[in-house]
Amino acid sequence: MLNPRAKRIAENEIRFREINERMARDVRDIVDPQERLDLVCECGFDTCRETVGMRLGDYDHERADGRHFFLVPGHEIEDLERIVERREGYAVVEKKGDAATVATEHDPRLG
Amino acid sequence: MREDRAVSPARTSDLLDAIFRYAPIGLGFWDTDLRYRRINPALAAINGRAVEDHLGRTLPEVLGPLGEEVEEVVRGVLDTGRPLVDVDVFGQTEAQPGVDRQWRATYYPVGPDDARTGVAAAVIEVTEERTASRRERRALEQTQAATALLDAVIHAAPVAICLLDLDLRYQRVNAALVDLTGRGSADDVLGRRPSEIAGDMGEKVEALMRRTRDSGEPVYEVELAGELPNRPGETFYREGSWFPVRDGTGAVAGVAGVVRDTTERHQAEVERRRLLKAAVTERGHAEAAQVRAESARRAAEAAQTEAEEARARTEFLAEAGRRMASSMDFERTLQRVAEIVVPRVADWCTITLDRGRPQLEVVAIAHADPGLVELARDLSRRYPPLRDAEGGAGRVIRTGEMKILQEITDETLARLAQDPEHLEAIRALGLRSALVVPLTVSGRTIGALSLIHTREDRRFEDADIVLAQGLADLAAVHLRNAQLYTERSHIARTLQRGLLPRALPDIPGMELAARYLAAGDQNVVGGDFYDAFAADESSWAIMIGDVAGKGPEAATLTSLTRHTLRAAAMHDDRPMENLRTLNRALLAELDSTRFSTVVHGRVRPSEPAGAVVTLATGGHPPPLVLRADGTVETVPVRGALVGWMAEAAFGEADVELTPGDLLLLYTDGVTEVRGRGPEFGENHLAESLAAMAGRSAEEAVDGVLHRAVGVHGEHAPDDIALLALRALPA
Repeated sequence: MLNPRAKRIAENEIRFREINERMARDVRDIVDPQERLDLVCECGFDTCRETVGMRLGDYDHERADGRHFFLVPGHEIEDLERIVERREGYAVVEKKGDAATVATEHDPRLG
Repeated sequence: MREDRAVSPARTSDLLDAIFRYAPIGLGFWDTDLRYRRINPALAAINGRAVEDHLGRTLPEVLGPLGEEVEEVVRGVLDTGRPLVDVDVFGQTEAQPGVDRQWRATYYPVGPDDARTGVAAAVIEVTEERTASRRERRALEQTQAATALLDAVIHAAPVAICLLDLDLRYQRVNAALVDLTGRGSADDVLGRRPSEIAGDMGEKVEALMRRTRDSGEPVYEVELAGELPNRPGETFYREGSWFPVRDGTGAVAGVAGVVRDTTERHQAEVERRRLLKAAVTERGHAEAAQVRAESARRAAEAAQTEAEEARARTEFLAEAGRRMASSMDFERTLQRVAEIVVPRVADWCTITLDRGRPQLEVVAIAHADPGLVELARDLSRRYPPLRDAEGGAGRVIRTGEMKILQEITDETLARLAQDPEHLEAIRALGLRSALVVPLTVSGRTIGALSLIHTREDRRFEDADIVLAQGLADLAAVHLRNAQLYTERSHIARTLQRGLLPRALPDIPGMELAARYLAAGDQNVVGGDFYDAFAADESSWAIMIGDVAGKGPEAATLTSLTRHTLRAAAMHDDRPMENLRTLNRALLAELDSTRFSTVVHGRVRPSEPAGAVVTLATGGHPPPLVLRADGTVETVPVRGALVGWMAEAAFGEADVELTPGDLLLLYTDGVTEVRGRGPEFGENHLAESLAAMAGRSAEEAVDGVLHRAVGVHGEHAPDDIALLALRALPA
């Protein structure tokens, strides 16, 4: 069972994923797969205003696992997630425990 | 001409007949009345009538409206005598009704001017010739018009148009195409191939033209991108359609193309995509910012709520602590803890203690429904929780770990029940969820605080758990303190009882009364004491005293003082001598910092009433005598502290009590009033005592004590001991 803080962060990260999914969907027909998109950092910090530059083709690859989120390096929250990949300009984290379950349950690509 | 003149009139007539008959042109003759006199078959055929239908008739009669027109012409020739040559006549005849026809006629007069015989005419049909000529002219005009139109369209067209021959060289171009090639004029383009004038873009265009030429199939709306020689580094976009141009045999004779410059459109599309992407990105980031702002607001609210809950918990625990601290009674403290919890934290609260037995003891119960308290209490008596139970308080006490059951199922109840009757009873309690917290002090679990919800809509939240743990910790400390206090109070009461007489003796003709009021906590043994007992068959010993300090050390000194003096009095009836004995005993046993003040007396009843009391004092406030008439006297006796020094001197005096007189021994707790000098307390005591004139000894000590407490307030600074001896009235 997630505590209120972990629950709020999990909900935020899911919302950021939804926003990035919508951005990727809306530009899919007008950008080249190699073109970089300025996506939202999917971290749990309320003060974050940074973006993650990523090619559309890479984005689809990173979205393959519903437990994974990408964020600006250093924005990971250690008690809730762990880094599984480091890429140029961003890191991929995997949610832990109940947060992973919640993230998978809300994975839009599983619907 | 000569030969003609030599022809005879007959021959002339025959020749004329032959000419009329076989001439391929129409011939006719009208008399001066303009009636047909002669007509040949060719002209009759033109008119669509037989030769015979003409003769003797006028032109209008034969040809209708056309005849009227021709008649005018013929009349003119007749009247003027001048021929008319190659006159065009238009109209319709019955030969081809509805068809406009044309003839060319020549009219000439016949006969000399003065002997005119009529008018002759030669007519040839020129309808087909004229029609062919008009067609040719019209075709030429149409061709010229089409060409002009094509030129106009080509030059006015907003798109580039071109015509190329089979060698793919420009034959015709408009200004728009010249512009697309980047050349200055049509002369720079005509006769050249696209690749020769338009570089990279021209090569691509030419490839498509070649495909069109070779396949004979058109290519529609193909977009090309490329550079132009005069604009290196820039990319231009063209959209074109190319199609074959065929000659009259259907063979491909060239290639035509229509081309548009789509560079701006392409750039607009690129810009549109860039703007769309920027808009999508901006919208996403704005949404994310909104999410983060909302999250921050929720976090702030949560922090505020948490802070408020923490403050409420702190206040609750502080209030709980105050209530617990208001009594150091062990049992009462437990019950107060339970009552604090209900109904704020839970609907039901029990406190269970481990007293080292297999069965745990439920020592406190509180329920939101007071009517259920007795039921729960009865249940806990009949089915006390077991220390070795699988769940509940027993498990928590054994493990020292909190247990929470957010949903109590029937299976849970069945597991906890000790028998079917017990199961039915706890089912009736309607338990929904439970939280059991250990009461732990110094690492040892002494019991458990059980919180239970009976309402379906209540569940234990994190804040409840924090609160329950805080409460349990607080309660455990207070319980431990209460236990210690109770134990110490018990010891103190036991000790205090040992320092005071169990009962006062009966003295003939006298009445005795005593009061003892300990100051401060009841678990501290006071330093005051008094005693009265029969010393021998005819006299009684009385004493009152005060030892330095409080607590166990004072109790030891008090005990030593009292029992030494008591033992001395049993062997010696001289009070002052007994004080000396006590002084020696105390000096022998204790250091010089420990001492006592004592008033010791010997009571000898008088006959028939009253008594004589011999008083000796060592460092103690002088006794008072309340005479029957209400006057108060101070017994003039003084002496040194007992146990202070070996050469201490003690005073002694006899006091005679007549019926109604009352002797009051007291300790300094009566006269010491905080913030006032000693005189105030002594005067106040004298006044209090005077007010008791005529009262019994019991009433007198109660009155004095009551007024002393009134002066001191709720908390007297020192113990108070009073001992009154009154000579009964006769």
